[in-house]
Amino acid sequence: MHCERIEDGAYWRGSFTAMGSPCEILIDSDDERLANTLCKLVRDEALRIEHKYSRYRVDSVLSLINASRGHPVTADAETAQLLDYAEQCHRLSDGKFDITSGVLRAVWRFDGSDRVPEAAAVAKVLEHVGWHKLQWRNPVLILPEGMELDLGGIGKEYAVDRCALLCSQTAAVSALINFGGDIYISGPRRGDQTWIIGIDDPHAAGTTGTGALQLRRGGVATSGDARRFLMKDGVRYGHILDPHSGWPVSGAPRSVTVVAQTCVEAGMLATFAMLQGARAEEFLREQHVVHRCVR
Amino acid sequence: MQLESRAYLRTALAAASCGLLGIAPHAMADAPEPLQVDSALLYYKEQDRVNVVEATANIKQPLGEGEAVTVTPTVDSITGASPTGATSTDKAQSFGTDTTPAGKLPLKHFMDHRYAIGLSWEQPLDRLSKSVLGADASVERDYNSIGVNGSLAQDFNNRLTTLSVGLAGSLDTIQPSGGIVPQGLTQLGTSSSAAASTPTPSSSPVFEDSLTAVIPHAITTASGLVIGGGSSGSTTSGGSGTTGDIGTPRQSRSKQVIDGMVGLTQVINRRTLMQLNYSLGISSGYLTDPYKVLSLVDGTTGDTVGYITELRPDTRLRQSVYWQTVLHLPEDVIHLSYRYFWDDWGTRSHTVDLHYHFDLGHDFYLEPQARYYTQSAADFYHHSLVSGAPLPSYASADYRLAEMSSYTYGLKLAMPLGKDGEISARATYMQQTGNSHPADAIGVQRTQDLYPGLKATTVQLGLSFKL
Repeated sequence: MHCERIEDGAYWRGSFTAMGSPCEILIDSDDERLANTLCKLVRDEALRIEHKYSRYRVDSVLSLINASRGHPVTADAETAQLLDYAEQCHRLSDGKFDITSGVLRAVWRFDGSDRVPEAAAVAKVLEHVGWHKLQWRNPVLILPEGMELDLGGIGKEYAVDRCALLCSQTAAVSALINFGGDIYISGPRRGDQTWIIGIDDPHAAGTTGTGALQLRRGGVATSGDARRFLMKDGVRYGHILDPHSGWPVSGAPRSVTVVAQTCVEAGMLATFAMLQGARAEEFLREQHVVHRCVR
Repeated sequence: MQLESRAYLRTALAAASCGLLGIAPHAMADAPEPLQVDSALLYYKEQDRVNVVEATANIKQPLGEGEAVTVTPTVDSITGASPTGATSTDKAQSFGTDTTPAGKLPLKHFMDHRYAIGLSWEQPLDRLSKSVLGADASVERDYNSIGVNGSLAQDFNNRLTTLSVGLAGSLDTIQPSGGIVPQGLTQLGTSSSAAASTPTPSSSPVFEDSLTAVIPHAITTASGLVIGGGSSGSTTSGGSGTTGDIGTPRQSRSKQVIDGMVGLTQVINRRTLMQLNYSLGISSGYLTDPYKVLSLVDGTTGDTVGYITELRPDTRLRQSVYWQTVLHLPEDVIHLSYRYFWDDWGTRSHTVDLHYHFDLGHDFYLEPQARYYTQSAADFYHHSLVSGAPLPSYASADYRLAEMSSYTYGLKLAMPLGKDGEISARATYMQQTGNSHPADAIGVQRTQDLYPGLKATTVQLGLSFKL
């Protein structure tokens, strides 16, 4: 894999696809060899994490856990850290962030149609949702049959931060890592310049009119997807599901973008805000985070 | 998420996120951007003339997301002597308590302090544009200025092109230290403004004491710093026909200055940046220097027979174009600029400036500089006026309005100070020359240096750091 030099922009860009998203790394350096080294490092790490935690690969660690049918599984150190983190986020969100809620996808398909599921169907799937229903004693996990874990709400942000760490351990250059809109910036560009991040406006696809962020360092993540919703009888059902009810959170913004110390933290704050529904902006203001909300 | 846990939530989440990544909390933190201080101590010395000591600081507090406020306080102390506008003669000349020996340029000693402060607020308007709003004020014994300014910068063309527009306005007030704003083109020692037609037969002209009040001393240093002055204890007394009695309110005059600028900055390629600016400025009001005179000379012998106050038009329309290119070599950087200036006073000037930034490694650098400046005289510049001849509408013998040129050579050395700081020293030497023996010199004037020129040295120590 080779980087391309961005014409006249004095930085290098490498791109690839991983975790179902376009991924890119921008490197503020004149050193082509270093840029290629960092690009390869980032791509390899992203593919490693994808391979390990993808729901779509039967040989992934996650798939092995989901296929354990109630038998105890011993997690490796990295997986254990992710499970610990998921547990803390579950607690901090009063149970609203729950990595077991992925099974609700069986009844909720946010394809823009009006196919809102029957309440009974939702209630049936909900029996298999709830972090408190599994046993997690680091490093042993017992996941009851019928339950599934989904690291979709953490994995991509985690990959961004991991790649950023690897870059900063390799060279002291400013790099921007962007995996499908989840971003980490490892430090100010040469000349103390910022990186500028445009934010897509879902009302006008392809534009970046919602306001830009200028960053020297930190993580940025967006929760929400304007294309994933159902519309029935004039009611819009967004794709953020409340694991307590099994139904979409009402009044949630179309998307929330948050800036934080790490991409993981930014992503979690954005998810927490979405889970607040109509109170999302209020929540973000209370947390004193730099954010953009699109309704 | 209950109310009581909200303040705690973010801290806990940040700690959990850092735990996941196996890093110390705040190891990746986007710490609030630090306060940036750029300070300098400058010593400017003109040979045999003016000395200026200036302390200035530029204190910038980023507020996040590209927003920042900047405060710029400056204090100057000016001492020394500046030319009165009178030329040297083959006889001694008296100016109040100062006596100028034969063959020397009449100077007036003075001293003043200047206190100035600037405030600015910059804020991105959107992803591609930024605005800056500012205000400034300065105070001297005889000169006050207040001003406002604003600018907008808009990026285009994948941020390779930036268009900037700026507008600034200021209102300045001068209160000559003698208490009197002299009438222009008035012969000293008389009360008539047409006095030039009746020369005094005195062999050695003397500024009367009363005129000390009228013609104290003001100068503008070569760096453009306007400095007014009055010697301590300078008193006013009647006798010249204009008011000046103690207790009379000091007369003042004002001027208004409006400057506009349009600029285009273009990234040419990875190594080259180019900038083109056009500026238009209008000054109106009292633009005369109340402290300057012209020598009145005998039309045959060239002897100085008197002095007359200067007078300039009350408007000035200034225009300039400025082109700069910055060339990044693999390690070094070259800055080359050219400026062409013209105004409706007939002044035209060219400035070429070259800086070469030598990277010495480890954040040390050396920056030699060379600058060449040349200008043509203002239409109303006269080294002196002939006594008895019809008076022009405007006249000034200010050496800064004469035809002249100057060379400046400088060298700067900078070294890092801690992680974010820099300490630097810069020295420049400027030599200004003009037409010392103009073709229209009369009689004894041909033996005199009618444009003595100027040599000035600047030493500047800079200190930048972040808090």
